[in-house]
Amino acid sequence: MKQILTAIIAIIFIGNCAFSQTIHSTEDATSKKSKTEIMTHIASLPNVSVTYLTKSMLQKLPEDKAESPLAVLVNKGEMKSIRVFHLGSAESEAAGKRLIDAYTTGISEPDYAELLMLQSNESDEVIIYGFPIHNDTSYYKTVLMFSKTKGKKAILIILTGKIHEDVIGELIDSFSK
Amino acid sequence: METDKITALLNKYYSGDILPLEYQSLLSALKDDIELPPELETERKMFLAIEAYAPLVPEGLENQLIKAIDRRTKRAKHILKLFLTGSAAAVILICITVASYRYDNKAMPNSELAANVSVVEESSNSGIMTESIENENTGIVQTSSEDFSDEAQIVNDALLEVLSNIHMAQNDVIESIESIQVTPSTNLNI
Repeated sequence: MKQILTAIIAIIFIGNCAFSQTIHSTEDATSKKSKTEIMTHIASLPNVSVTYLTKSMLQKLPEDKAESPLAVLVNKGEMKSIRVFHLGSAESEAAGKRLIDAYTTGISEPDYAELLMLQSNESDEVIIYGFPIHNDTSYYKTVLMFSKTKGKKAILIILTGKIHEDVIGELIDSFSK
Repeated sequence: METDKITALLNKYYSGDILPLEYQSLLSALKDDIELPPELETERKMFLAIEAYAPLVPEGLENQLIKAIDRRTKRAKHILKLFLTGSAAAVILICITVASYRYDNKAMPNSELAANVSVVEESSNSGIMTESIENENTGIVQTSSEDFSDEAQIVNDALLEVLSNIHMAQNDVIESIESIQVTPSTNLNI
């Protein structure tokens, strides 16, 4: 009886230690789950389209796209994926904003979100967040770009990879006309 | 027995190196009625006097000794069992922790994938069908169109539109800055 009790106490104690170790990974999993749920919700809304380019697809870009923002990203950034949401309703725009919030709040130290641009008025809105790689802050592992203009669908672009901050600057300088 | 041999055995007895057989032969030699030198005579008297006293063994001493030995052995076994039980529990829990951590990470890869993104069809005028079916387990996206040019065009157009909006936003900022009129009475020392 004593031995059984001792074994149970030992299991509870060690289990508590092990549980506390898994909390961190559980928190990461929880934030990823919430992003997943929001993305699934967005994709289910009407008047929404999702376009996703994987790494292999990016590496096989057609040649007529040589001088395009996409080509700049692919050539100068180690792109893993590009996801584009066209959000054609107020509900989907709100869901897109929630997805941005999920990204910016669902991170733990030493990761952080860098607000690169925030411009908003009655009709237009631009939000850009960059998530630096924690051991090299001149590179972003994720860049979120949200843009909304009156009369057009809102666009949310999620870039993932190893994107140098200069590439973002070059995109803005070269193509924002 | 000769005197020298008796002396040697007595020395062995006092030093504690005497063997049982040697002890018996020493005892029988000293009990024999033989003449010994005066110093050995004293030794004989002392030796025989000590032998005359029978040891007092407490009752049940043997059983007590056996019980004490058994108790010590049991305690050592008990401690060993405890140690082994705790170690086994720790190993099992570590294995469960590692397995659950790896399962979580496998199910949720580092990219923002890991979703059952359902098939989405754009209902706009462009008529471009972009279809992405994501496998939950492998995270591999299978696209229905073998030619990625349509998807690449969509992404490119989206990027251009966003960048164009950024330019407009930048212009708004510049206009706002330029519209700040500095008058002679403006106090710049804030």
